[in-house]
Amino acid sequence: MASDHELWERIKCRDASAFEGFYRENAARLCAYLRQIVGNAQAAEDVMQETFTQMWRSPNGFRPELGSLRSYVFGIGRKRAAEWWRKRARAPEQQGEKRAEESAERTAGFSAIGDAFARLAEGQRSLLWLREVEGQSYAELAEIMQIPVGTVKSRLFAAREELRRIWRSSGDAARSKK
Amino acid sequence: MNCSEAADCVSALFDGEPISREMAAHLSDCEACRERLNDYAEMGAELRDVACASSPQVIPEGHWRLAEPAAANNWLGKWRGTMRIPRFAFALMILGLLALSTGLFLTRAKETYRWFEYEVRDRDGKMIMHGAVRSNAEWNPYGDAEGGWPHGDGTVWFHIRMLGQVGEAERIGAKTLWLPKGEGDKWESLYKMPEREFLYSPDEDLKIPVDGYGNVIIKGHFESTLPETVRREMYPEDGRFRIDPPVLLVHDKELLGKYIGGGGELLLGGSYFAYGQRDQGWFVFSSKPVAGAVEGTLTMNQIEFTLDGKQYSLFTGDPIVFGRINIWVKHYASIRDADPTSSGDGWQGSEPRLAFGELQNLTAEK
Repeated sequence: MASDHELWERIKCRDASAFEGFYRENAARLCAYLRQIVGNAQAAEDVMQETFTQMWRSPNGFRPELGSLRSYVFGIGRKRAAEWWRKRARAPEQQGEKRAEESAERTAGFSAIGDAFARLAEGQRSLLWLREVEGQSYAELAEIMQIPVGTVKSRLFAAREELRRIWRSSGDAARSKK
Repeated sequence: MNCSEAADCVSALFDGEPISREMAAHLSDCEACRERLNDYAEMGAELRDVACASSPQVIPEGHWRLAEPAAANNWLGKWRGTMRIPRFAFALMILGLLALSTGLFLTRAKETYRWFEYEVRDRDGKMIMHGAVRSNAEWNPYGDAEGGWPHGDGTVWFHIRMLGQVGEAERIGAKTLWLPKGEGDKWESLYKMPEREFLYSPDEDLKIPVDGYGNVIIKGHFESTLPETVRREMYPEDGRFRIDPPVLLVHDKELLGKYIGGGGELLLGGSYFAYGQRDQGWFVFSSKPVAGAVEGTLTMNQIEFTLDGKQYSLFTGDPIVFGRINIWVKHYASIRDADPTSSGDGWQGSEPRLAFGELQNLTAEK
């Protein structure tokens, strides 16, 4: 298997088959992550497509010493998702209604942890997802989130505690209904 | 150490980070901290289950294949490798009610390809539009067409694109949308619809089901050469130049100037067109040899030539001719006037200009 550095060199040389492989390997995972940020599947796919398109159009900015290629593309995806939210903020009509729909879609059919997770702030969702699901290291999280490693550690703790608080309280609520 | 002091270390421990001996000692005795650690583990496992459930089951086709290199770092390569042609399918739309895009799309100029001439018919078999799009053997999307067709009870919208050749068949991607009467302003939802893929064999009727509407039908055939009907829409007639802005002059990857005014069309034989800017003088282009001119090549919308050992390129917004011809370029570096054949000082502004004229006026050296 090619190293990130080799793969990046091929992408920079416009090697479409190399990029296709990279896309196939990461598109679904990035899409699932973005869905947690933007809230609905269609928007997540749009942002995912924009992310890979941006990477293919402008293959620059990746620094192997700062993290893996996968963490790099997740970082781009997170920035694109932030842009998506900014654009939506400029078109506030129907937003309350849509946010409610998106929250419902994000968690629909999932477990209690899914419901609790959906109630976290976006930054906490993002950080926890990248750590728990994607297995990103502290250094990679620092690169993706653009924060110091020490802050990664403290924010992860805060996010876990908040998730735990919501999760346990929802469990208590469920128990009290029985 | 108490539990509140140890809490953030539990998180670090869960992530595999080293912890102090004091912390380890506390954990071994503290039920609350062990419970916190167990909760973290359970939450992580359940989150991964959520991830499995929320991941797309099918990886969508990557839109990145549609993207050319960014203009910022490779704009010259983009201009060299591509040309702009009108979205001619729109021009053939029958009905004024249709919302037509006037945009242009980029397509590669140097690949092998075939042409797909097609018709789109509505649920009653009535023709909505017809056109032709280019194909190639490398599975690169090359063009699309879209439009809407009104009925008494609403409007059907569609966006189709040819994805690539599979033997004698063609992969076609289609997005469709039926909007009942009164919801016509929602047509942009078409772009959010999922693209479905079909395999089309020539001369068959491809029925594309549209929810709430019925079928949109595509029928067509393939041509190995550019159909004459299409060529008339896209390229100048034989024996004529056509200059459509923007016109860009480039030297060694550096953009020297950009003209964005009006264009023109003229006969190939006996005429010239010229691009000028005050700091570069005039570059006069002719399809016939001219005394003092250098020979270059004109391919669709790109002219390449060398002057005094320096490589120049001139790009235009649409094809100047169909195909490739030799072209002669004469440089008037010392004349910075409105007319390349005139020595009058009629050029007040600094913006680049275009000029058209008769070759016989160029015979005298200035």
